[in-house]
Amino acid sequence: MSSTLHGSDLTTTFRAMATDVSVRVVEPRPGVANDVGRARAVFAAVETACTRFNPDSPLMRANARPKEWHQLPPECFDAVTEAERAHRETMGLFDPRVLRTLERWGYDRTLAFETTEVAVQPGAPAGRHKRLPVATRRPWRPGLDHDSRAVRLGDEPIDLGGIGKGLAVRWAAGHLEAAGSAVLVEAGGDIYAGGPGPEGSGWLIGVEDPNGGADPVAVLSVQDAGCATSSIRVRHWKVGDRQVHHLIDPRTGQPGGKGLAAVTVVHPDPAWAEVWSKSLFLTGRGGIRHEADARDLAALWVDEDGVVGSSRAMKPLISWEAGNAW
Amino acid sequence: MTDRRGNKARWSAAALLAPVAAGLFTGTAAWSASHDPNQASSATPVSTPTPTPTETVDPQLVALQQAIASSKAQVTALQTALTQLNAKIAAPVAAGTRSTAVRSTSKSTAGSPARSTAPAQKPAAQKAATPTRTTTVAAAPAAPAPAPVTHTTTGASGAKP
Repeated sequence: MSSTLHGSDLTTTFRAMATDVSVRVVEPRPGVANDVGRARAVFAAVETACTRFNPDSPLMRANARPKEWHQLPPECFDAVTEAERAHRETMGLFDPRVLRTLERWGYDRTLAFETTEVAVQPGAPAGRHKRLPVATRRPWRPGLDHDSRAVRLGDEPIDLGGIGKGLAVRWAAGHLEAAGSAVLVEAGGDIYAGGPGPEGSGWLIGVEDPNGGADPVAVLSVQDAGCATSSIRVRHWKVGDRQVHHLIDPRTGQPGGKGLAAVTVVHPDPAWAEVWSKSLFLTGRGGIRHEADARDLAALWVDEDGVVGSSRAMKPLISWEAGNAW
Repeated sequence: MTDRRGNKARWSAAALLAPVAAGLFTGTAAWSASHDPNQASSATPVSTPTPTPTETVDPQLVALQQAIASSKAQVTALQTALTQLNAKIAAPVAAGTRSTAVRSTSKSTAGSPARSTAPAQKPAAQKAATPTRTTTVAAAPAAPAPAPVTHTTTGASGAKP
């Protein structure tokens, strides 16, 4: 972990959940170090409880016998609870059971997306559930015992990676409410922007170009809200001759989001920004505008041709936009 | 005596005429040296008062000259913008990015009109001096305003942009 003081801002960075995490506090108040320490502990606890890359993690122990009841640590239990709610509210588009597909395509371990073009041979290790069906159309209804924090996942194992990170940002931000006049928590593209920012006019968040351009496709001005992006820029790979990515459509069991390269959502809750960015991505280019406007979601998307679109609720938040919007 | 008087009179007349003739010749020579034959043939009388510029310049001509100057400035600005845009397009390609960053820009010129123009980048709607220039200016893409400095970036998870 490293902390730096620039002017009146305190910035702390550390590594967690396979990504760089940064916490920036504007005009820090006495006791800020303790607040930042608690925020960091949140990420460590969520990673320990919800990782799928450690077979001994509470999540993976539950995944190993999903039809049985398992008592979970608070972070993992709350993540399962929130994932079940997200599954219902997105009409099944958010489905943590896509883990099976990811494993079948070789994403059952950390892959070096950042440094190499990943390729997996067909028939490579498919995880311990390779003979089970890939796609499911049945709603996910896990058993949840709130008194004992016990869960019964159902027929299939689950992946809490995305929503787990959004929840970690939400909970970390909760520890930083009184840390300063404004706070920014950022974990691999999942963001909470609290307060008016350093200049008092909101936090300026660049939306990266999923096609690899150096400039952002848009800049958003955000205050007291979360922001998340679902993108296939990094986590895509080859299985044999077939190009796949990690955003699986549970309705088909195949890579989803036809025609889209990335979707960004601003939402009061960073965990739900993550949920909706993924779910809207899966609606594809043809349906995303209607879906975002119908739900009054602030969404901005980039299609596979690099064309940028945004919902009605997003437009007031756009402070700058590249010259290819529609 | 009569001859003497006659000779005297002739010499007196000659004495008077010679300076007059010499003066006339000198004046004629000086005048001819200072006057262009072409101008001399002009019908404009020398004594005509010289008109002031404001009286002779056509207001339409002035307006056209101003329009030309304005259009030249506009063309220069747009050429500069075009150069910057071309440099911007070339940069990601030169950087060897694995994806096709140029698609987003090429789409803006090749895509449908409804999608191709950013709200903040609309070109000035000044008239060009000639129809040819009007066509050229209208086809040039607008210069994008540079992205403001941001506090952070949202993007693909698992990697810093």
